[in-house]
Amino acid sequence: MAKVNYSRITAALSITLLIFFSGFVGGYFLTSGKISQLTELQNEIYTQSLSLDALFDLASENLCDAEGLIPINNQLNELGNKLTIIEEDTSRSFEAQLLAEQYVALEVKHFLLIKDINQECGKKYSTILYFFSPDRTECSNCAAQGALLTEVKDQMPELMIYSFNWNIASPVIDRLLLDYDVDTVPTLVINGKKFVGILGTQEIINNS
Amino acid sequence: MLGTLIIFSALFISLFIGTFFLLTFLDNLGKMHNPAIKRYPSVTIIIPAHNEERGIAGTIESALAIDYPKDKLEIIVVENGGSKDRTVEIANRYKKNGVKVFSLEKGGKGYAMNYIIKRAKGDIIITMDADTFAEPDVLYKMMGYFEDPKVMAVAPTIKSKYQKTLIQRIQNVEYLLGGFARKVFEFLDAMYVTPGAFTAYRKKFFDKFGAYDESHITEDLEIALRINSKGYRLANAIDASVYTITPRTFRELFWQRIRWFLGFIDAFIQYRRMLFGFKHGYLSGLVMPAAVISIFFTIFIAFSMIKESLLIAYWFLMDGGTIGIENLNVSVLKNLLNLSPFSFNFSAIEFAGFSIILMGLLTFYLAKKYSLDKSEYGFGYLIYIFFYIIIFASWWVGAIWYKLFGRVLRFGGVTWNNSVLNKYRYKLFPQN
Repeated sequence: MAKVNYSRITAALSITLLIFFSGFVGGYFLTSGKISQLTELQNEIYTQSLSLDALFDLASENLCDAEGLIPINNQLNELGNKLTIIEEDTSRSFEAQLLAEQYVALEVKHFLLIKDINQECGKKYSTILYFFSPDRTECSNCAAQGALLTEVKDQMPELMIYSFNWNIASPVIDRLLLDYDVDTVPTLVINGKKFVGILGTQEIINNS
Repeated sequence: MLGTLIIFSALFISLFIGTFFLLTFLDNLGKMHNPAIKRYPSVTIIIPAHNEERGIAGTIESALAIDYPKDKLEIIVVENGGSKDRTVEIANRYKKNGVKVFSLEKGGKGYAMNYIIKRAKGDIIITMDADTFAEPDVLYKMMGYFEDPKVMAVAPTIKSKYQKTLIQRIQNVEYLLGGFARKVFEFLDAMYVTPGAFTAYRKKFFDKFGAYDESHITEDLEIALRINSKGYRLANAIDASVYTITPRTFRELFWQRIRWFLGFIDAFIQYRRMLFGFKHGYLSGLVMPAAVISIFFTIFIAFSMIKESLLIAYWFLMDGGTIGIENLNVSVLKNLLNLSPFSFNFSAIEFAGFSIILMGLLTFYLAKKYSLDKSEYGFGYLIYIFFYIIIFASWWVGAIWYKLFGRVLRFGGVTWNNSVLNKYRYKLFPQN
């Protein structure tokens, strides 16, 4: 009978533990990297929004071309997509929640600015508020609606889309749900008009 | 949550045991050469054959071509169970080369082996299946192990003779890894299985501890366990090559494995007392528990894999249906899949899985190198491994099903009716 080789067992156990430990640490740093990337993006959007806001308050007519607002909306959409991915990582829910709350506030800020520009400058930027849930059991159509909205945005970059994950605990989201009387997802509010249930690309384009 | 816990422990245990086996192999690289033969033992090669007219000539010729002192080598073909084809006629043609031919009424490999073992001249008995072909140097590589009086059985590495179908190519990989595992088990004195197609046994063991168990559907497994239980050793000449004709289709392979796995379950139940605990060293402390646990883990992982893929496919189709044909195009599908590098994520589970794949590749490389395998493998084999998990799990699910609820199965000349259901049926209704 072969003698039990304890040093080999210890070596195998150490290698196994090392691999698991590396996995934990590596995964932690990967998510940290993503979060700092998001924070950076958020800061950039925040700074740009703040400057535009200030400019608008100083001299609203200077902003009437509103060119700067379109790339910010694109960045907001990108940020929203990435946030949804980060939110799946439950171990980092605190950081994700904080980022999501700031994100919602920035979206609303941008939305109000567009509203002002439409009023003061006689522009007709279309806005879409999109209420959704990333949870499949809660909203089986949201993945499809999200893909369609991304497609519409690719076709019409000047369309302003604001997506709101209704599970985010934020007073701003609560207020919006109340204001537009949203009780199911997906719900779209296109230029103030509410549509319950999924909309196809053509329907979205026709209504905006 | 429970599922995650099971996957986590499955990966941890697999990684630990896999690393241990790999370290065992690497630790013993210096002992990899086969021991030299000092005194050539006399050898009897027994070829049991039942309706084997297609392979028998090639097998006999390959046995005759084995490079070994002619006065020490006896070749016996034993036709069993009254073959209806030309097996005996073909075998008789080789009588002029010194091949002995027997014909028995009763079927079953175990019966045929026992009949011949009593009459064999050799100190070493080799069982060789009638669809099996040995390389000429196989005995030079194997016989040296018998210089150690404790060694009772020596196995070569089995390879797939033909690699025409996908199933046969997968089996070749499987056989090479099997040879590697047996070498590791030899170093640990825990070799619990010998290949049925070609293995050498010391005749003294049969004389002392009884012959083949004729009721077993995998006789070789029972003998290997018996050798262990009596405190003797088994060895594996990893670079000795023997080729066998492997099943060509899923169906054939399924029934072969049902037989193997049912045999494993029966032998396992028979020897259960020596298979757990620390009385038999690595065999009972590590190798057997690992073999049993790996069955359940594989079934669980296969089920999770199928469930996840079906779920993804289901949602993808549902989303496609929701979006509707009129809205569906390439960019919408791309949005739906959302394949941004940002969504790439990993944690301990993914990293451990990845490490296991790497370890598997290293093991395969070593197995291929030391068993002198010359086949070409592409990266497609990574995909085979993925499917192999599912196929392997399905064999086990099948075997467990038959063990519980099976009625009567026939494998060659042996009838198997050892299911739990039958056991209670006979108890409750003894008249049946």
